[in-house]
Amino acid sequence: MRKKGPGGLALLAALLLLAAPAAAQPLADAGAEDVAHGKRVFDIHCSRCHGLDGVGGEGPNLMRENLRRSTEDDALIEIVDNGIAGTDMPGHGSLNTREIRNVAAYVRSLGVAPREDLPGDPVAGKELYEMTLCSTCHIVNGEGIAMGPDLSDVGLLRGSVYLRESIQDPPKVVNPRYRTVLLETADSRTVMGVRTGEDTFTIQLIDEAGRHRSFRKSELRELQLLAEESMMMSYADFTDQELDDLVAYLATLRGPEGGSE
Amino acid sequence: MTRLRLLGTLALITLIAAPAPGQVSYSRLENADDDPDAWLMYSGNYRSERFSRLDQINKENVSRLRPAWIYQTGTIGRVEVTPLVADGVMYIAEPPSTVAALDAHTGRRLWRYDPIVPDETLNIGFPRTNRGIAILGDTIFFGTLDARLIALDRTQGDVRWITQIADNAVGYAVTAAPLAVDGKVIVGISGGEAGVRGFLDAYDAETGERVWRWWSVPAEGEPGNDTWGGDSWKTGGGATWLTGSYDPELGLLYWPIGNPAPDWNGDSRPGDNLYTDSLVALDVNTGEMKWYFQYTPHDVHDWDANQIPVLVDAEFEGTMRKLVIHANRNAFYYVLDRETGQFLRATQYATQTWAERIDENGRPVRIPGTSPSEEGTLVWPSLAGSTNWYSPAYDPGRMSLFVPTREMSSIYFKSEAEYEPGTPFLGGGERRPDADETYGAVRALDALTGELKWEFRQLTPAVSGVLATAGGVVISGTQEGNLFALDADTGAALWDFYVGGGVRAAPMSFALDGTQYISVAAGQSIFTFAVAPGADAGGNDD
Repeated sequence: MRKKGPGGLALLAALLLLAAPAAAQPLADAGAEDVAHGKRVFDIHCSRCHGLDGVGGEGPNLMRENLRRSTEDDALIEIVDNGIAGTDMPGHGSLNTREIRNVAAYVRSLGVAPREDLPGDPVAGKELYEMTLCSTCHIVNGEGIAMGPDLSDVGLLRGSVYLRESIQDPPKVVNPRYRTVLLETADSRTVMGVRTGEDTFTIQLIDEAGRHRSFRKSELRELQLLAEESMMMSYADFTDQELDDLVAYLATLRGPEGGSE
Repeated sequence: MTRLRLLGTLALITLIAAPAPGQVSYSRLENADDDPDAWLMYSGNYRSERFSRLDQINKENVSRLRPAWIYQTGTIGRVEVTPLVADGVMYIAEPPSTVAALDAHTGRRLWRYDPIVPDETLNIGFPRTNRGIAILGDTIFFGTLDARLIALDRTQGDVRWITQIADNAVGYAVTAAPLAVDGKVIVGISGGEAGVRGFLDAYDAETGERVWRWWSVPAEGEPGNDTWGGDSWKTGGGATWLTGSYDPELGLLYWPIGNPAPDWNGDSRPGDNLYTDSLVALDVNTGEMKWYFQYTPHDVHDWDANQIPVLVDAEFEGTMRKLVIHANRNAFYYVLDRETGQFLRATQYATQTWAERIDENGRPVRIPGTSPSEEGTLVWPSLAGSTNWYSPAYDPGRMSLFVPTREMSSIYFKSEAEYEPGTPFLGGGERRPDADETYGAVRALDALTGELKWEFRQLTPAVSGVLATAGGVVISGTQEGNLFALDADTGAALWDFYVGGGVRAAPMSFALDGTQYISVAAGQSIFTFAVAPGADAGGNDD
């Protein structure tokens, strides 16, 4: 019988090396050509939400120090590949292994965007936020009513352009998850609210009083998803200065980790 | 040996030798319509009608449909099976490739067989699930994600044989229900998105030995190979991942064939890419192809033809004909002669922006500029198509085909595609529109003309199959988790029930002790319904 020796071990090691995925190289070390290819793919598939150069828009700004869900390369590749369940981040659905890897390498190469220099006064913006009853629809750091999105880290996730637009022109940017619904019941009552759930036969919403409501569609006289009008439209009447202040305040909301400044 | 002992031994031998009273013979399969209490194959009968001849559940009482029992698989994957029922026992498949037998009266599990599919098993382009089982004699047959075909004794789930039919390491898998015919088990494979070369196999039901293999992509020197550029046929796709139909009189199998690979970048495969996106008629004994009809030549949108072909005998333009009808993923409804494959008619049944028309030979006249591109091309229907593998149902009395329909566009992207065994071979993909811009429907089409009789609109694009019944009700579900019943004549909703998980399978029906049931897989469970006693049934609601 042949004696087991270092030769066998070396062979085993060589086999293991062969079997190991080529992905072992850190994304940060990717070559310029791969990063450029990643940027091309990013511009086509990712920039619609994450903005050109990853500065954020409808989707989070990617030019920040910590991508909290993907400090590891594998986690970042996994997110590009399969998206993030329970969020609006979809899996790509169409990229090959090389494209996924190069997009991830490009995202790693983005670095940290300088904090935006905003013209408004965040303190005045905070006052305005409280005065205009934003908190009757949004939660910031645990305070408020949860009808629209939680804004606790909106400054981290969204750029100022998006924040400004979402106040001025909500239908343009409002997330379909927070569509406003207007309905009329069989006994002629009108109910308006934010849709929280819907299937083929029923619809659920939070009404203007913040109450959960549920209806069978067949029992309604009318059911409308409001596209142009939104409850938020009533807040569009700000002066330029007020708008600047409000955006400046929202930009300071960077979640419990960063805390608001 | 005493006389008594001898008698006892003889009795035992007789018991063993005699066929069990509930044997599912081939003749029972062939005459499944005469046995409506059972559900003996994936689509209900060889013509794939998914039409129950039971009429106890009807338009008047369907509103009182209530859960009779619920079986929880306890798995985390998608349950997409159509259950079979024979002789009081229900057979189901659970993700990824487990089979269980349930008491059809109560839903209590009798046995379960797990073939242990390794974690590293590939599923490229489809979920880790199993859509069904075949039954013949005392044996049930099913495929596994790692491409084995397994025969189990149906009394206790003991293994009769296991045959490895293909190599999962390059992407082959089995998710479709096999089809049992006389002495043979027909089984198709998945893996088109990995660039496998598709085939359809027949196995001896007794031994598990292969009887024939038909390749869906012809090799060099074979007719049709010239519809592939260079070596592209070797990785050409053409998976056979949905159960086909069978005409015992003609001895022909009708099998729908999958998309070419890579899906969205056709540059490496110039030509029509036969027999992808086709319906083929194969001799059941030899696997020899009698005819083919290609719906979408040189497909670059992943509009495979893996939708259920339904066999219909009817008068077509004055002549009795053997027809096969097919609501295709590409938004057109087709009527073909199933003896010859002759194209008879195509009718658009859902929104599409890719074809000007279907010409007199059944070939689409494409609108220029509708191929996927690097910057994206907006086309209807979406990648998942106007319909998909979700079964339609055919009501032979009304001559209506009830089609689960999707109204949705995609922005199609094209990218590089490099073949690497066992990895996705796609060359692009889709971006979907916002959910509020899409919807689904059950559409009732006239079987001969494809004209719309009615539609029942759903909030989201269809992902569930449809069942029709002799009681005049049509049953289907939604991805939101609704199960519902419609009036087969008008499409009016008669009943709905929220099952709490997406309905991604097709319902079936069976009867026990004079009571009709409807079963469907949804979420991670099997739901079974029956009509609760009501005033008109002489029952007492208290």
